[in-house]
Amino acid sequence: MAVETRTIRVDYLARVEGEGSLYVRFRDGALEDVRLAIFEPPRFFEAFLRGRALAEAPDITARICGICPVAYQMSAVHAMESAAGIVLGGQIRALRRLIYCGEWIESHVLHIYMLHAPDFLGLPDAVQLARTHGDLVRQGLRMKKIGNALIEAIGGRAIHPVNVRVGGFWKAPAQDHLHALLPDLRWGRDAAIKTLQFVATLPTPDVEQEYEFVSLRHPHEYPLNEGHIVSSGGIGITPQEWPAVFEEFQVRHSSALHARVKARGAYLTGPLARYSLNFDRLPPAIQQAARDAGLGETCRNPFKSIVVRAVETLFAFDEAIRIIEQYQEPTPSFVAVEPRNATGHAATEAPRGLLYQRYDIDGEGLIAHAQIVPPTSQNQATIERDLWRVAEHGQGMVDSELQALCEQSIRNHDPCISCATHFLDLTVDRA
Amino acid sequence: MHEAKLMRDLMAHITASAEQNGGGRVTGVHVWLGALSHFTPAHFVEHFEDASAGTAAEGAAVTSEVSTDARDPDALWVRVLSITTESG
Amino acid sequence: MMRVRIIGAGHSDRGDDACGLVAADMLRRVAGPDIDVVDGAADAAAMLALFEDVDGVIAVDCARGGGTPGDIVRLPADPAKWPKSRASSSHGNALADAVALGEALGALPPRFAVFAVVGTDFTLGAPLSPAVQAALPNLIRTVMQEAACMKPN
Repeated sequence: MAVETRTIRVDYLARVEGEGSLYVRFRDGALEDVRLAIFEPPRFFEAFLRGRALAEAPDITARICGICPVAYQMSAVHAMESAAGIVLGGQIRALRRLIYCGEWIESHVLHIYMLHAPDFLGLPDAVQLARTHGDLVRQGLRMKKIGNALIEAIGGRAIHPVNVRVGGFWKAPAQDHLHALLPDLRWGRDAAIKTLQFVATLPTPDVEQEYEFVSLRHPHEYPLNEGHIVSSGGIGITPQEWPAVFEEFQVRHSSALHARVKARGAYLTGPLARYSLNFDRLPPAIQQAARDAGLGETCRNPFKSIVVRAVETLFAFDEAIRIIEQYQEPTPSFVAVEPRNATGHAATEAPRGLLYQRYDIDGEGLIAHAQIVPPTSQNQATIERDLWRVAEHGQGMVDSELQALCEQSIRNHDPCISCATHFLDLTVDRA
Repeated sequence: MHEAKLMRDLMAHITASAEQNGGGRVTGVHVWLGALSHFTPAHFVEHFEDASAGTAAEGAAVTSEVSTDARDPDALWVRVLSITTESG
Repeated sequence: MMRVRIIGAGHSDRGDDACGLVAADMLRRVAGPDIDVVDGAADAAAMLALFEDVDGVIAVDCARGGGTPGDIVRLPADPAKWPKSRASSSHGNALADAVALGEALGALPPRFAVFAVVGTDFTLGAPLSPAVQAALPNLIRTVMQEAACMKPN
């Protein structure tokens, strides 16, 4: 009988759903594979930004993440100003540092109290923590509220700040408006010291990981908006050189893009990296507080990231107070930015790590191409490596125990996904 | 993995379509990949090869159309346009 | 005098998940000056802060499941019994977590109600689905009736 070939029209639609999944495979008593997949909203926004005016970027990028809108805005405005060839100083620069302090406070406190601390205390979530440690949770909530109030005072709104613009701020906050925040911020600084003392008592596994740390480094300051990109592996470049040294690539098992150092591989951004590469940029009193909490000048134990986050929270309160005490309203509150046909790059320090953005701008000031590389995608390969070690160690555990340890391990790095208490769709394949 | 779930879903549909149309081996699959579907053609082929192993579509040649229009209402989706079967 | 706050929860770029925010925009125009209408926060801690300093809160959200698309459902007091509410928020369900946290801390206002519209399309960048769009007028009426019950004068 002759072979019959026919073509059938199907027209069937399907799409990738969900947020995070982890696949762990054991064979013959050995760990064979670990794959973490995380859905990344920035890819949608990169496409959404094409053809938009450069002035729209701070508003659009702020919508990517409700927890760290300031980070997306700050990388966006600095990239646009880099394309236009301008650098802002003075009180506009100080206000940008100040609003970023607000975001570090609210994001770090959220992570420490609501997401990470329950792991160390063997509790399923913050609700149980609230039942057993009510005063502690109330302290965290009040600290976080102060961070949000700081963002709101400068950004106009806490979730999607509307006052940030390319070239500065639509309107500068009044001096007395910011001064009114000082009593709360001073309370917050004391609460941050108590937080640091508390997290230092949490039991952590004694592990050290070989990371290549990557963060910004500034000549004088602990980095937020400015600096060279440096690494513990010897990298020292300007943000403009990011594409020459780093690359994004698609991995077989995930729809997301990962990033790596070209010809070398995985690296880590975020609190551990910032702290370890910039300990000497912290004020002496905060260095001492870190030492008192049991930290050295570098930290390679991912489970200690909660302690490092508390150090950075203390720094953010301290820095916010310092900036407000010296604040004078900038006039004008922004400088005009003339669009020109150019490419702009910027990297700033989001609470979770380095956030790189690149924009090609055409002569009319429209965005021809946008690239947004969030800390989560940069850290994903390293988080997977951590999970390898955890899964090897946890091979004999029942699945629920292994899942809890994997989740804690992922939360060490606070990828955007980690906020959901039980986000993880874990598959353990043992057969 | 979410892609694996998607592929299982697609495979079930492809093999069912082949059955409904007289059965036989699926030798070709033609897909449209939305600009935001998270798939490159090579990435899709890898997943297809994994998912089709042991099914009537094992070894099928995959051809793809790649959309670059992020504003397309289906930009987030993968669309199976047609399949080719061989029987006899 | 009862102080009432209406909170529109959701995400502006995820299809039907925006319906709480769209409803809040509409409610701002009809609620009058004595009712505070705000957009919800992105995380449970900030959401919980929105429950402070008022006697009654009405939250409006989108639910995934729990009915036919466009249905308006009043959610039970215990958030553990709520249908899954977010399609793709990477930060869990801020509203459900805030209610659970507020309950544990004894920080919920005396009067509390949550209305959810059952959504169907949570695609990034999608507009409200026709079913959810059509439910909005009824939702606004339901919320305003509830606010009137909370604020007897």
